[in-house]
Formats: sequence, structure tokens, C-alpha cells
Amino acid sequence: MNHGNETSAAEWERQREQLSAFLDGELSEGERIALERHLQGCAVCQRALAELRQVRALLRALPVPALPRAFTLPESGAVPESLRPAARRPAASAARLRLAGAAQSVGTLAAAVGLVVLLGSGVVGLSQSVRLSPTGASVAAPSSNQAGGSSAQDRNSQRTPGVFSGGATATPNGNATQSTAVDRGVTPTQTPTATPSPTPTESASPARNSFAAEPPSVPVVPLTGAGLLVGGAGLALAGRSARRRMERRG
Amino acid sequence: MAGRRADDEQAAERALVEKGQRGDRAAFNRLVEQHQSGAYALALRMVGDAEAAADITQDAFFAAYRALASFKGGSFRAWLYRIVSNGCFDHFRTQARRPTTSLEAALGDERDGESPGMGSGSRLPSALIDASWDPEGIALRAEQIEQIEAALQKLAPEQRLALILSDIQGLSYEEIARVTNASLGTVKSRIARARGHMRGILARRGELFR
Repeated sequence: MNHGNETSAAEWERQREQLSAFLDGELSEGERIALERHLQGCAVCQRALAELRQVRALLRALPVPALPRAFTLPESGAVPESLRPAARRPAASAARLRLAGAAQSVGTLAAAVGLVVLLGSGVVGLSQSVRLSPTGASVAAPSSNQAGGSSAQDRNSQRTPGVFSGGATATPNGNATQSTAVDRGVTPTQTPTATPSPTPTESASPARNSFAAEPPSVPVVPLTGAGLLVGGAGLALAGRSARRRMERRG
Repeated sequence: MAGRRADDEQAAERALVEKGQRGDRAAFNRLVEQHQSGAYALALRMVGDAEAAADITQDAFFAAYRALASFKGGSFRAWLYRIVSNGCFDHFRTQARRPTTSLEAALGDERDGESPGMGSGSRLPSALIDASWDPEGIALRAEQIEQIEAALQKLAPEQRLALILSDIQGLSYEEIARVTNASLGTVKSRIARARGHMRGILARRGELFR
């Protein structure tokens, strides 16, 4: 066979098929003898044969896959039609998967929004208290008095309002009231900036609660509440879709 | 000697098939044990997804058991592999019906850059390597295995099937013709083309061909 420029692609394709089949011992006796004769004087075909042989050797050297499980049938009982969800319900399955994915994504997004709102409200509250705190040494004293002496907890609640408010949500009757009282307590701590240093009794007086509507405290409570709602809903959505996925895989 | 052993094995397999045809599930399970590794390897290399391959393999054995009465002799392996390969092509059709864009994909799925049903070159090798496999005993390194598996995934499914059956599973052209329901000439052509493509892909990647 001539392998010059005049060799057509079709002819070369046919020759390569012969070489490939020769490699596998799938040629007839006559074809094999003719090809062996040709190979003796054709470097192009010798090279092509060596490349085909190398491809086959590489594929033969591939490892055997590990079995994920045994595929034996149960000893008794009906043999199922199919295990493949895709084979039974291709469209519905794909749609459900996408819906679950979307729900999870929306849930995650909502959780993230909730977290941002929570942190945002905390930053607002914190920035307000930080902005007001340098106004006098009397600032810390009233808040510690109002919280029944747990000044450390109060400071923590102001610095990490999201965490504290989260605890309030878990036990709304007890802690929510407490956290509201604490949040309100922030306001009286600011009031002394304009007034003389209050006594403990003064700081707990109803008159101070009238300041609860002041800017720092007002946005903190509703924003924290909204953040909790959005965040909680988001986490619930994310958890539900994850549970569904696990059920499907199980 | 080897020929007689092969004859004995064929006779034993035929006996198991006949028992299976009479409803002997234990006998059929012996056949499953003999062929499950090859059947799963075929499905895995065809679809490139371990979970889908396992389901395709299991379904193939279910179908084989139900249809065992229709098996009229010859190569049981070729008959079984035909069921497996049909399952693989069903899988491709199912994948093709799926819209290519979903919210997950839009948000960036870890399988980015892979077409459905073709598997990931970077994912496949870890699923393919048997824990008991000793790489020291084989000339190929892990990254070379990865290259070869990835190249295999780039072939057209019909060529990939012919090449897996021929060069990895060691079936004869006649058996491959039965599995693929194609003529011997078509089998010969597919294997030659597939080898040529593999050679081209691997040569572009450098290390395996120079």
C-alpha cells in the first residue's frame, strides 16, 4: 500500500482498521499474511501498529473498579422492576431535584439575609452604645444595676445581640422579656449623658422607660425580631430540603 | 489444557443458566457473582458516574433474571452486557431530556464543565480504583490512569463501548457484535477509530505518547 499524499483518508482508515484487527487476531488467514508482508516494508504502518498496540496496552493496564456493593438478588420475594429513579420517573425526578435544590438555595439565602439583618441590627445597637458610651463613667453603672447585677451579661448582650436574642427566641416567655428589658436598659444608660449620674433606683424607675422609644433602642428590637424570623425560616427551609435529599438517597 | 478448562467453565455456566431458568435464584446469584465486576466496570466507564452505574448494573441483573428464559445459549456475558449497555444508553437519553440549566448549575455546581452522562475526568479515577489494587504492580501511575479514563470519556458512546469491551473487558469481535447488535465490520471499524482517537487525545496530553 502506498502511503504518499495520494492515499485518501478512506484508504488510510481502511488500512488502520486492518492493522487494528490484525492486532486483535481478527483477520482472516489471507488478510493476515498479506498485511504481514506489507508491514515488513512499510514504516508508516509499523508505526501506526505500534501506536494502536500502545493504546491497547494502556487500556488493559487500567485497574478494576471497586464494587460498591454486591448485586445478587434477594433469595426470595419479587424481583423489582428497576432501582433507577431516573428510569421510573425521569421528568418528575429531575423537576423535584431542581425544586429541592432551589428550596435549599432560597433557604440558605434567607438564612444569610436573616444573619445579615441580625448582625446589622446588632451593629446599629452596638454603634449607638459605643457612640454614647464615652460620654461619662456613669454609663456602665446604671445598666449593671438594672440588670440585677449581671453587668457582664449585659455587655455581652450589647456586643453580640444576635446571639443573645437567639436565646430569647428559644424561650420567648422568659428570655424575650428579659432581652427587651435589657434592650430598654440600653436607653437609660444613654440618658445619664444628659442628666446627672442616676442612682440605681432612678435607673429602674418607669420614667426611664419612656426613653425606650428613642432611636437606639427602637430599631434594635424590631430589626432583631425580623432577623430572627427570616433567619429561622431560612434555616427551616434549608433543613427540610436537606432532610428530603437524605430520605431520597436513603 | 486451557481450552478444556474454558469448556468446563462454559458447561458450568450453562448449568447455572439452566437452573436459573427453572427459577433457582441461588444458581442465578452465582452467575451474578461471576459477572458483577465486569458488568459494573462496563457501566461505570460508560456513564462515568458511580451511583448511576451501580443502579444500571443492578437493574441489568433484575432484567436478566426476568428474561432468562429468552436466553438461547452462546455467550452469557455478551447477553448480559447487552442489557447493561442498553441501560447505559437509556441513562444517556434520560440525561439528554434533562434541561442543561438548573438553579444548582447556575449557582455553580461542582460538576462544572462536564456534559450530562459523560462523567468527570477528575472524579472518575477515585471511583474506579479498587482499594485492594496494588499500583506498584501496574506500570501506570494514578495521574496516568486519570488521563486514560478521561480520554475514554471523550469518545462517542458507541466507540467507547466497543473499546471498553475489546481492550478492557477482552471480548472477541463476535461477542462485541452481539453486545452492540452491530455487524463485525462495524465493530472492527469502531474499535480502530476509537483507538485512533484515544491515541490522538493522549498524544495531545503529552506524557503517554511521544
